Parts: sequence; C-alpha cells; structure tokens
Amino acid sequence: MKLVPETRSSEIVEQLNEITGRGWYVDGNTFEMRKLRREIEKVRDVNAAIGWALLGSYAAISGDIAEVERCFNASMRLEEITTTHGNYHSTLGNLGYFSKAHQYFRDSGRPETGRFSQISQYAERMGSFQTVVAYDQEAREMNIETPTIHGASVHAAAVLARAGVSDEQVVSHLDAAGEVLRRHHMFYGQEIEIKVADFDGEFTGVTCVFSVLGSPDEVFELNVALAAVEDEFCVQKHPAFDVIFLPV
Amino acid sequence: MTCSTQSLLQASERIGAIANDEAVCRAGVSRAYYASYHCCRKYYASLPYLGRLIGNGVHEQLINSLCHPSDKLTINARARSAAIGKYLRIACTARVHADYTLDKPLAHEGMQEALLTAQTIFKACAAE
Repeated sequence: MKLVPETRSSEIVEQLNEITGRGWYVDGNTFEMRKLRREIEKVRDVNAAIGWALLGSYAAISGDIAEVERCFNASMRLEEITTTHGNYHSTLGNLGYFSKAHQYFRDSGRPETGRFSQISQYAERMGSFQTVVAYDQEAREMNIETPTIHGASVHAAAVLARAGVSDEQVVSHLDAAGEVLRRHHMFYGQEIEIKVADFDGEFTGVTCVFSVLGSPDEVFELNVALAAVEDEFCVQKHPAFDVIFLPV
Repeated sequence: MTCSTQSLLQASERIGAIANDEAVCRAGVSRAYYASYHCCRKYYASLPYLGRLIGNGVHEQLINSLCHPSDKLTINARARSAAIGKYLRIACTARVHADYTLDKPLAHEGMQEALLTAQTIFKACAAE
C-alpha cells in the first residue's frame, strides 16, 4: 500500500521542480495548480507526513513562506523523514531565505542527527561552506558515510576562512539576493554556481552566481537592484565575497 | 590613446568567432577581461567621488573600488557602480581561470559567457 503514494509523491516532486524551473512564482488559482493540490491532498490522506511536506513545497511555488513553515512543521511533528528535512532546507533556499536555511542546517544537519548527508548536498551550495566542511570532518571521525562535497565548495570554504569571512556573513549577503528575487517573484536556476579565483597577486575571491531568466539588460538591472538592497540591508560586504545574477 | 577600449572588445569578439580549441577560448576570455578592465577604469575615473581602495594589485583594487563606491554618490550611482563591479569581478575570475588554471577545462560556453559579460559592462558604462 505504501508504494503507491511514494511513487506518486515522486512524480509530484518532479512536477514541483519543473514548475520552479520555469523561473517565476505561479498563481495557485489556475486549473493546473488546483489539480496538483488535489493530488497532494490525496497523498496526504494516505501518508500525512509526506503529504504535509509536499504541501509545503507546493506553497513555495507561489512564494508563500508562512504556509511553507506551517506545512513542513506539521509534517515534521508527525514523522521523522530525513528527506523532509532536506526538502525544507532547500525550499528555504529556493525562496531566498539563506540565513534561515544556514541556521537550520547548523542545528538540524549535524552529523549526529543522521541528516548530514541529506542536507549538506544543498547547504554546500547555499553559503554554508565552512560549516559543511567542518561537519564533514566530524562525520568522517564518527565513521559516518559522507557525500562527496564539490571541489568548488571546499575551495570556497578555504578562501573565505583565510579571508576571515564567516558563513554568517556569506548567507546574509545571499539574503540580499533572495530579497531581490522575492520582490520580482522569481526563482533562480536549480543550483547556485560557486566561482572561485585564487591566484596570489592576481585575484582572490569567491562569487556566488544565481542564474535567472531575462535579457542581459534586464539581468543587469537586477544586479543594480541587488546592490541597492545590499546598501538597504547594510550587508557587511567583504572583498573576498560577492553575489551576482547572470542570465541563464 | 592608440588603441581604444572598444577595439579591445572587438578583438575579443573576433577571437571568439574563430575559437575552435581551448587555447583560443582562453585567449578570448583573457582579451574580454582586459577590454572590460580598461572600460571600467575609464568609467571609474569619470565618477565624481571615488570608492575605497582595498586589495592587492590594480585589478582587485578596481573591482573593490567599484563594489564599495563613495557614500557621497547618489543611491542610484552607488548601485550602478557596485553592479558594474560585480560584472568585472566575474570577468576577472574567468580570466584567472583562463590564464592560470590550465588543469581545469575551459569550454566554448565559458568564453561565450565572458564575451557576454564584457558586452554588458561596455553597455552599462556607456549608459552612465
């Protein structure tokens, strides 16, 4: 009996990912969205924890963070499912709440929780560079199987540690980009690209690249808006780190 | 000036048009960066108030000065300077990769990205 909702939930997750990949928030009142919601509610009737988590992801595609929180909280209170923790964390990232995602990873993604492998795959792309590397080290000492961390993330952690830039500074800078995306009802591409230059005497620094839809001119204006939000939020900018939007 | 910044950009575009192997792609990325660097230097010099001089070497200093503009500029001018600085930073990162990290591949798409970044910088600086 359990196989049916699990299989259906995988299809629903794929559909949610496809909608997010379109690059813009969607209106929950369309026929397509109402149909999808009904399908999720059917899953919830069979497995409430998975259903509530899917409703959380569903709320994210229209940018409703309060509903995201409510649904994921309901799911987590019902059952401990590692994937749900990973999905909640990545949903926070999709909506641009990077400080919140980082704090969640710090608290809920420690190796001893058993969720490190699941959450770290997103955390390493969402600014928690040094925490991922530190937790990975802890996990290895505990003989816990660890996922492969991308070379760029490890390199970024090293460059930023050398420069004295903390994960908290990084994610607060990423939050500014998240704010711009929310103001424009936009999603970024599946992953944030980490670009690292590390050549003494030439240039050393880490840049997080958000791929977004739009013409080069439109994306440039999005970067102007980002710079304005960095000022507005009094982001503590450091030469070793920056954030940029680039066209897909 | 015997060579304009626009000529450097056009040279990088010509290299891009004939690039059929990685070495030429790397040359295209490098030329696109230097075109951008000189364009940004002119733009920066034209600002009524200059930003903070942080970092080692002229490249880092120009990027940081653009990204940390003077508080005396208007809000809009500050934001545009910082946005241009972000693009120059990406161009510089690509150039460091193209010129120094030969062990990491650089695909044709990487060069196209670098050219697009340079073209965006030129357009943004010209609009000011």
